Amino acid sequence: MRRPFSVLLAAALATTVAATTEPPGPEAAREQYRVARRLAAEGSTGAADALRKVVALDPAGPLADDALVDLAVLLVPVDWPEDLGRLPVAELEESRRLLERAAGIPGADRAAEAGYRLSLLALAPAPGRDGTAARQALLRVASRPNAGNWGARARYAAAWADAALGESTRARGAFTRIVLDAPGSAAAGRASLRLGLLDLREGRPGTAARWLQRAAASESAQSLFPGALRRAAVRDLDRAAASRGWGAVPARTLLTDARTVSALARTPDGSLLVADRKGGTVRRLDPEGRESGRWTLEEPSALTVDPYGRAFVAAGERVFVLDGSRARAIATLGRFAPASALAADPSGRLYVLDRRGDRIGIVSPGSDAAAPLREERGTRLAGLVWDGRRLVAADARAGRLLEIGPGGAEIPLALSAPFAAAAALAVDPAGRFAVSDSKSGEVLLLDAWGKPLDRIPPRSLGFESPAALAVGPDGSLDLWDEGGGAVWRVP
Amino acid sequence: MEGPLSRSARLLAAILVLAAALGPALAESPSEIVERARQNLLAAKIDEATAELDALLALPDLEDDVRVAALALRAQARAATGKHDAVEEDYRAILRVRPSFSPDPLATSKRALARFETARDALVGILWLDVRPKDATILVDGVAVAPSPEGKVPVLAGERRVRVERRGHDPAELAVTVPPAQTVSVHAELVPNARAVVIRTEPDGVRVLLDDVPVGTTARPPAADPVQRATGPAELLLEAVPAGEHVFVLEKPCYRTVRVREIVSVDVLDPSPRTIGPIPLEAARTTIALRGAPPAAEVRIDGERASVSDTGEIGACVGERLVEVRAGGRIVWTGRVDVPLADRFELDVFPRPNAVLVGAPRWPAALAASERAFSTRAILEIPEGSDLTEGGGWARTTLPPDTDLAIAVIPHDGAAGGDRWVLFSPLLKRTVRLAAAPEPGRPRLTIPSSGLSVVDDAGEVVVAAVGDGGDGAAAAIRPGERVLSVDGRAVSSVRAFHDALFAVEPRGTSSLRVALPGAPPRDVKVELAPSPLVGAFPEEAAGRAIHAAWCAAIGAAEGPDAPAAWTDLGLLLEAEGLGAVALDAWRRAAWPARTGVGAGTVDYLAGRVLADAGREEEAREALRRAAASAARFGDDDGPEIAPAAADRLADLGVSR
Repeated sequence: MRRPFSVLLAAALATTVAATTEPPGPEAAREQYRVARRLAAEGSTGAADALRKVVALDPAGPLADDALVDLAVLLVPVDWPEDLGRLPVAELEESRRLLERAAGIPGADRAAEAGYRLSLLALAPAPGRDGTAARQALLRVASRPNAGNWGARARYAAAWADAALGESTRARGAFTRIVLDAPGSAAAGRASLRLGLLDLREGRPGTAARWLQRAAASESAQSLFPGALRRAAVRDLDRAAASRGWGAVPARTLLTDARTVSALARTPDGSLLVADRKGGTVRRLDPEGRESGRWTLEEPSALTVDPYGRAFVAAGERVFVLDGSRARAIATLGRFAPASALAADPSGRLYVLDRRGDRIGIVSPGSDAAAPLREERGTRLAGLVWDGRRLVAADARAGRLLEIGPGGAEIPLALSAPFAAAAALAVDPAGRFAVSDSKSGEVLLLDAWGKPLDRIPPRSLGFESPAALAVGPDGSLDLWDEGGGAVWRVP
Repeated sequence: MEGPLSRSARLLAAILVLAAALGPALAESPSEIVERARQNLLAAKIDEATAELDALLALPDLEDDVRVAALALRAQARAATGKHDAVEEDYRAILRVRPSFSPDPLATSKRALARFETARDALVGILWLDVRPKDATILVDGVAVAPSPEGKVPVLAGERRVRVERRGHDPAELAVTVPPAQTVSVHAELVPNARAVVIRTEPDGVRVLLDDVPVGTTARPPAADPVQRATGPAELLLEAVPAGEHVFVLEKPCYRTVRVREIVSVDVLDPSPRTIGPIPLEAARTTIALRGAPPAAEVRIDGERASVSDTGEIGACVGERLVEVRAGGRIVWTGRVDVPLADRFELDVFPRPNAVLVGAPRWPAALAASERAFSTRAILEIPEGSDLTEGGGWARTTLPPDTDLAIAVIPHDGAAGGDRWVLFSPLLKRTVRLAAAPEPGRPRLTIPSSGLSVVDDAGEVVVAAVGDGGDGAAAAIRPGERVLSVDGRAVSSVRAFHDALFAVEPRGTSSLRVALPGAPPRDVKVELAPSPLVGAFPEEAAGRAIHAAWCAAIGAAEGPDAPAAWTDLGLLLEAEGLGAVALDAWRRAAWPARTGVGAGTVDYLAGRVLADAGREEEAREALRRAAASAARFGDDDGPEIAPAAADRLADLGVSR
């Protein structure tokens, strides 16, 4: 039955009046919260205001903490430490304030969640980051009675921070504890993945594969690509059992006529980024080798992907972050330009190796210019990577890998590497290094202590002089053959 | 016809009239009045006695005994005052009620006696009865009479109906005219129509049913010498079994029932009982072979402890028996068993939960699987006013000891829909409304372990690790090898690999085809060892309650799965916030020394609960043991406990 428009209008006006004239209080807040939650689910731009209104209607009411936490999440949608790289820095402060307020409401039923999220934000790769304080705050949340799954998440985040600091024993204990104490939780799935990575790094591919098998069964770990990591573990098993590593499956070319490639990098989802200096582009190839993105930049010379999956590119005088379809400049490189290598750590710092391989600059979160970390010392470096716990470079003139310590100190890794001189350096998610030897033309895979795990003999697979490398999460190797002018993938 | 009430009312009215005359005697009964009149008469208070008796005899409906006694006393009183006509009148009145009356000659004057004889000669004649059998019952005008030893019975003169009857005989009835003061002979011989039967059995105590009606139990006649034991056959006398064909059923627990069909005939010339038997009853016991009984279990049949042989066999009487298997201080299996007559009868008594059904006389058809899976410990009614859909309702329901689970059937109060089911776990203190029939089966607490850890990789099953010293290692399988098939079944995923292994008993052998990448396949035999499985219980509440119930029964049985059962029960209790009870469960988990899931696992769990409870010193001790162990969680291939224990120790201030 059709109703006259005037009737509908009157009804709508009456509803509006009723809604707006309702006095503040718990009931009004409850109704408003229902509306706000729906708007948030719909992705409506009005959701934030609707949530603010919930708090305004009943500032100390039972839904105030819900509205505050929901609003904080709306502004900074971060659930796990791995998500911290994508947080909108501009909203960070307001999100913190909201969470602090929610956590301070007496009897708030989402206090544990608010505490977790607040502590997590303190780990963000942003200015003012205090990892130690963040870890302590996370442990406080984890130790709260009745913190439930938020406690498990907090413990996970603290252990993640431990692992990033190289505290692998401590991290292993906490991750295992999560698996035992909160089985089936989202944190347990991710903890299994982290345990797999620890074992992979420590040369236990069998146990690593078992953990990654568990992680692969967990929905919460899927965004960390456990299947690819498990493939890497199985690849290690194959290397040990059947000397079957790189090259067991024929290599293939991903790009031909690539004569001026300056850098390669792999993203966590297995995509490959290819920087072409003279072409002035950075291309993204999906795991199948198809182009899935392209950025135009002037003389891109170095690439890196940070622990949060963000891609950075040094081009000309500046360093950019590849943000969606555009490249956003974040800092100038000054005397470190043009860069020959880039690396990024979990705290948000970017490390820049200059073209000569002498000096290393550092771009801290919030800073718009590179500051010196290491001045010229006479050692010429080839490549610079963050291996998950430290900054590592390869000596371009001698067969060794060097940890770049505080102040740019060179600390050789425990074992001397069996190569003459490095042309390129890459690292995989488990902290193993791929090095191309400029003299022999072979490519080596070295464990965290420099011990060889695999090698590709010179010209054995069809390429001649690998000059840029990248290792995927599944352990596959991508390289640019300078002589052949092609990008190859070695499965 | 007047009823007893009106008669009583009239009697009461008369007593009131009498009371008015007697004054103080108001509360006296007629018998007491008679007695008082007797005392007055002895005290020569004749007028007083006469007045009392007159008043009494004026009452209607006096009982015959009282009336006769009162009349006899008044006759004496009247005789004492010389009123002999009145005396005779009283005697006539007496004889009309009781023809066999005769006054006490010592207390009666000669003249009064003469008057009595005059009255008797006028009113009473004698029946001289000659009846066969002698013990037949004689009724005169419907009233049973007791003849003198000679067979004489005084009766009122006139037409009398005499009936002679005896069980097992046709009755005789005849009309007799009895002249006053004369004797009339009556002869009656009853014709038998039934016969006494004696049933003799060996053994005694045999219940006898005659044509399906229980008629008694045989017993041995007492020995002549009371000191001696009765030795003759047990017997039961059935006095009058009607002639014809009858079925005698002889039954006794633990003996085969015997049915005897006999024709009982009547022999007029031989009234002796017919003897049947002695009939021997064959003992009916069956050997029950118990399967799944816990070691050192105590078995009770119908409440009596039964002796279990080394081979796990017991003897039991045939028929429905209540069998209980007890272990660990509780019932771990119970059920009503229809023991057949057979040489050997196998009975599965694997430990299972004790369930109580509430609110229904029997298990609903939809819960038939639960009925089969559980021991039905009791069937109870819903306590009045109790709402069993809430935990509080169960608090008012007294469940029998050893109840692991209760299921209430709550009738639907509306027109549509069926009954509602509510499950209550006394162990977990949890009430669960069931939306569907629960899955009641025994949970798996042991899995077959090949010693191999396998992972998926691009459609292949890859051996990731081989257990230390495990059977997989003995088979020389190497990490990195692919498992192509298990017992001939091709496997392309870890799930398929485990499904194929689970098809094998926990202890058995599997044939694996394995190969390194690019190498030819080879077949290897792998001995499967049982691995405990802990913490693998359902997420949903009903499944957890059922899992807890199974664990309680399996744990008490102290079999190979008991440590895993106690461990799981503790985990479920801990999850319900019952940490103290969980600790008790874990204390009972007596793990043998082993690698993998074991004592260290329980130490970790206990340390966790103790730390949460603030019992830090105990927690440290437990966690230190766990941290020093090689224990794992889940199964023998599960996560190591030690790192997590070390992390918890750090919470308690203990450095790594």
